[in-house]
Amino acid sequence: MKSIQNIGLALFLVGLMIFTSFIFFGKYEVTPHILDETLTSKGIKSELFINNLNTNVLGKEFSNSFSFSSAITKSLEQTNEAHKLNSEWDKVIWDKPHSFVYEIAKKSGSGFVKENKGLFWWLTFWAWNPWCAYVYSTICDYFRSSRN
Amino acid sequence: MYIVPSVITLGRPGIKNNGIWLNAATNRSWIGWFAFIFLVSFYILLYFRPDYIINWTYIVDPISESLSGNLASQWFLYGLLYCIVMSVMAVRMYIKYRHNKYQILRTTSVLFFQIVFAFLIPELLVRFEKPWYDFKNAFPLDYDFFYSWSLDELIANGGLGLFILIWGIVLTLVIVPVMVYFFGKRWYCSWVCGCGGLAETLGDPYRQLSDKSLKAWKLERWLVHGVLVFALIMTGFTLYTYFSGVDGLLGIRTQTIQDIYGFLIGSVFAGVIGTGFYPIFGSRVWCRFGCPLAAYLGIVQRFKSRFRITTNGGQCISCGNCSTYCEQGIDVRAYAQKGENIVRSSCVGCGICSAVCPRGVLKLENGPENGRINPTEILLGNDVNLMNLVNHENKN
Repeated sequence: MKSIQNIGLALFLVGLMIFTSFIFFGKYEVTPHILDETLTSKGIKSELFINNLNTNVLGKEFSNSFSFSSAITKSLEQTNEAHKLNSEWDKVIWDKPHSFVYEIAKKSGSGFVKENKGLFWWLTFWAWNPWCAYVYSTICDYFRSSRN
Repeated sequence: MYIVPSVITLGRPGIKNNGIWLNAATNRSWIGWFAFIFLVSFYILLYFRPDYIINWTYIVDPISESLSGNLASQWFLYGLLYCIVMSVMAVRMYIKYRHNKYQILRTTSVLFFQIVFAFLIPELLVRFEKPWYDFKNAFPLDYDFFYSWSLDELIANGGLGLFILIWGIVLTLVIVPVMVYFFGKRWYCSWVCGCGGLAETLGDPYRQLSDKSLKAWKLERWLVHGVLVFALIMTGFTLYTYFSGVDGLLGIRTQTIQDIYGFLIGSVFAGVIGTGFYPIFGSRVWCRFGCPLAAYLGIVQRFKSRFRITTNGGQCISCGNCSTYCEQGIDVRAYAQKGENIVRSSCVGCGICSAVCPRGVLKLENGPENGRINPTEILLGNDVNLMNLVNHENKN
């Protein structure tokens, strides 16, 4: 009984570590289509920002979310600073930088997690579920028989 | 697999000495600290670096699409994880407290409200192009209910939007105080609230870690009511700006106050500290030290309510289980030893003190207001002037 518990705990911890590791995977690349979509939906007027993105981000493949994020947030901060100095308030992008990046990244991401959403859903959360049902029924039988 | 076999390994139904203070996971030892770091990091990523956890949101995209039709945001991921964690830990609660019908019912209630009201209904509302709204989330806990974008959104959404607006106001001004009058804080904090639900399920192994010292109580009183005042002032500014169009008052911009509150209280206190601190400071850090709704409920419970925890002092053996497991850090034993009723404003009425009492001393009851508060002076207490007390009593 104790060993079943320990196996269950081990499975849980392994699943948790796999889940945690996902943040380090995945490639991110902004295509012109994604860039267009984002700029129009957010109504971005800053040519400085658009140019910055075109040079530093467009078409480049980033190997993880951290470098992708810092590339975009850097351009965001630089252009915002420049616009604020010139009091061009309608060109400043007021969105929170990381929420802004989130929206672009969501569309730009690729990799085995994105390709296999369903598989990973089942693996990380539910692989252990049938075990639970089996274990529970075994326990109920044990419980019933031990009371007689 | 880890939880279910405890039906056998924990022995017969009932609470027993299970070495909780010797287990590295529950006594602020290394496992607890790992859990702390993990939880705090998770919340920091969720609130402040959602772009790093895109892969996690991909995994739950299919579910989000089937509910609201949209791809998963980090908040959908959070809501889903919240429901899953609560469900799993609720199984643990059912096993651990299977001897206590009140706890079984209460756990079920809180699980129901989280899954249905805080997750399914709002996502389905979005599917029908209505605003995302959690019907059980009352102002001032739902601090952005009166923000201009929220008011605008509700007014623009026809009958349902207006219903939500009126519901939100009636919930806070009428339903909350009336229910607290009849049942005490517990109807919300322990049977309905989502934060409370996580605290009672995921936080159950950590109840005993809540600080029981007088220092903590003093801090708690100032902090929790301070947050309430902050929330009310912020809302005052918000409504003034909304109706007058002036973006600030007395040189302070409304947006700035909203940003500060949203960051300090909404994100850091309620999120990162609120759940992250479970393994070290106990399960109800937010509820006890920060929740403005708890402060409001507490004021009503303390002064105008029929709720009390009665104590059958003669049966008390001073084992201290009640105080140990009180997640709000109330010294329940002290009241039980004196046969006094507990009407403390911080008592969330979880009923665990009653569940762990080996003698059945404590009972959560609703009764007549008359005589509800029955304090006993301790003759040789630290803060009592004996001569004053004796002379004062002789005069009456």
